[in-house]
Amino acid sequence: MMSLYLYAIYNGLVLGLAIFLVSSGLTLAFGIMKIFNFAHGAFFMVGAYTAYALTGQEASSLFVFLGAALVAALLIGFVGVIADFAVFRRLAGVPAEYTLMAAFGILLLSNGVSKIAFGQAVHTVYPPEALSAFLDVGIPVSVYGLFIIGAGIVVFLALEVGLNRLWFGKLVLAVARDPWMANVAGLRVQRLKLFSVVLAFALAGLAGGLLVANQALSLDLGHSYLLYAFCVVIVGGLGSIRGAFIASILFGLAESLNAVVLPSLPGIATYSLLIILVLIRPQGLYPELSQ
Amino acid sequence: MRTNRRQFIGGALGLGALSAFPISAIAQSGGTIKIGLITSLQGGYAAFGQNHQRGAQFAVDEINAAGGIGGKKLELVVRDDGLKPDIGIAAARELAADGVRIFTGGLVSGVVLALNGIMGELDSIFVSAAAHGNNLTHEDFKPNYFRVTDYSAMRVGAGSHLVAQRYKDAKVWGSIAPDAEIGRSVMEVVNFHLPRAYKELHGAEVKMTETLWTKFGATDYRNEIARLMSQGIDGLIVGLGGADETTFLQQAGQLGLTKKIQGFFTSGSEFLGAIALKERTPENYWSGFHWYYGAYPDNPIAKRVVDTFREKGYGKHPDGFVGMTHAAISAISAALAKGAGETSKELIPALEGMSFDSVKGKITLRKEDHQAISDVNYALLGPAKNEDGWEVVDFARVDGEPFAGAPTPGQPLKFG
Repeated sequence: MMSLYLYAIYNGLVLGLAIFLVSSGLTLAFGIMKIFNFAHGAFFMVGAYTAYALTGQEASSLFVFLGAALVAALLIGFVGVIADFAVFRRLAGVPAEYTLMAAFGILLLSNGVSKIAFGQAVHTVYPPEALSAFLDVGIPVSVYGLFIIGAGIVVFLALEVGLNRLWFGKLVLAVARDPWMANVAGLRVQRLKLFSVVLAFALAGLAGGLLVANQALSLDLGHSYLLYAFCVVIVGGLGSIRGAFIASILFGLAESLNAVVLPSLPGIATYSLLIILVLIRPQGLYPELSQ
Repeated sequence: MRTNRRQFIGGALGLGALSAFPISAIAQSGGTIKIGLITSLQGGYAAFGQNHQRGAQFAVDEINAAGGIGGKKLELVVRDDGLKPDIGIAAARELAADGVRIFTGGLVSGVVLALNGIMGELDSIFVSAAAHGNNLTHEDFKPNYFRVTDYSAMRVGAGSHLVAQRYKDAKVWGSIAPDAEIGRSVMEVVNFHLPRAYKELHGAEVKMTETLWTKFGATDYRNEIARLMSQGIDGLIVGLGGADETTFLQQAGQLGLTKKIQGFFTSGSEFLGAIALKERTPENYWSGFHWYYGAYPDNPIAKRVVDTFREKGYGKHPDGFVGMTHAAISAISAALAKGAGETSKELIPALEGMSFDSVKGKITLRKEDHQAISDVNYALLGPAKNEDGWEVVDFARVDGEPFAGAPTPGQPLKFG
């Protein structure tokens, strides 16, 4: 029984970091654009399909697997450029509800295009040989699971350091917190917003490419993670990368331990945790200053 | 004479009314009988919905090519229910407003349950071609509902009997199912039939471990898999479906569960898992089918459907969803050919107790609860070094009648 708990903790960490990989872009988009990007799940799914199209059922090497994830990130980042010029920039001066509706429209468009482009079949993708092994340490620890944990930590550190320590990140945060003042101070607000949108979209594509081998690939994939991602953004503190990171791990562990502690009530831990944390800290774990 | 704006609008409205009325009247009386197909064309079940559409269209084309019914052509009108009852109902109401009185499709029991609730009000019938819930022909039975395929009690009962036959030495069985009506329904049937089958066939007791309940759309079954591996099971019942089942099989294969057990069966994802897993398809994987075409090599209707499916370039393997909407249209056309009109008052008595030819041979729609009495199909799928990466190793065509239970419309199905 003990090993089941240990395995649930390990598995919870893998799930938590997978959730963070998906929610990091959503958090960033909210932090900068102040909207919940409903289309984020769809772009995550398109990223996964892109990686599958490049690698097939199993990537021939780790290099190819990572390369496919990078291509997925670049492609979805480019979609971000189009979305910014065609939609978000045009709606900059209107109430946020309009942008929310536009994001919903992009979601429907992405789902429709994905259906035409990728078909409706379900696929499975496996990690490359370098990541396919299992380490026996009393519980079966998959190398791919460790890779997801590592990738999540790397993305977190890159965003945390990039936004809070690098000059460019500070400029982005300045625009997010007060675009009017940033404009007065001479910052190129539109360009910095474009960069943020592209980065947020690219993170969705990257998550799709890295997590494609974690579960079956179908047109439902985006929905599976999006609900967690929204929970994480709310609980973490709207727009806070650090909050999203902590919240992702909490939700991953809660979901995983739920399967062992309360197996007859699947999913109840996630919703209970959401309710409890929102009641205790309605402002979020790490409230973002710009909110 | 100048025409003012009021005259223009009045004239246009009048012209519109005059032109629209006769066109609509001609459409209903002159040439076509519209059949509404409501199925799920989005998400993880979309491939099944697409095949629903194909099978129904094949049947409509065949009937129209043979001259239609009483000189009238059939016309298929397709709507997506988005796997949601409210969208399904909106689609049915929209089609009914357009004169549709005959509906088929129905992938998910929850959507079909909602649709059944309005069929009487719309003076329509629903001939379901997939939804499996026991409740639909028992406690939630509606007279305007017919089901041309087997249902959970038959499918899972037959599957339990099949694995008891094939895996004599498997004495401990585990199970995983979604925490929803369909999952509970599957497990109720298994818990009754599997121990009984072992007792009858081998005089042996079988142990059923605690069922692991999961939520729909989960991305991670590894904890459940670890738990199943710790239970020391010999066999496994998988009540998941669609992409969920594929995710489970993928992760169970990676963690070694599928190699550890003697055999397992899933009730209804047909070829979906094998198509996704390819050469990683487990070797002991019995998949349930609404219709497995390979089990009917001498049936001319089945042969025609398979040939059409391949000629149209849809692939090599038509699944049961193709077969069952084809069967639904066959049932409807047989009732219409008997002289029934398009109203539910005429169609219901025509369909009740009717036997008709289908891809599965003769199917009878039981008079009391409108449930099809037919074969139940399973196929043993496995990996292969061929173009598909998988193959059908064996199949079973089980008589479904002993597992159908007594008809109890309005009452829950009772076991024991």
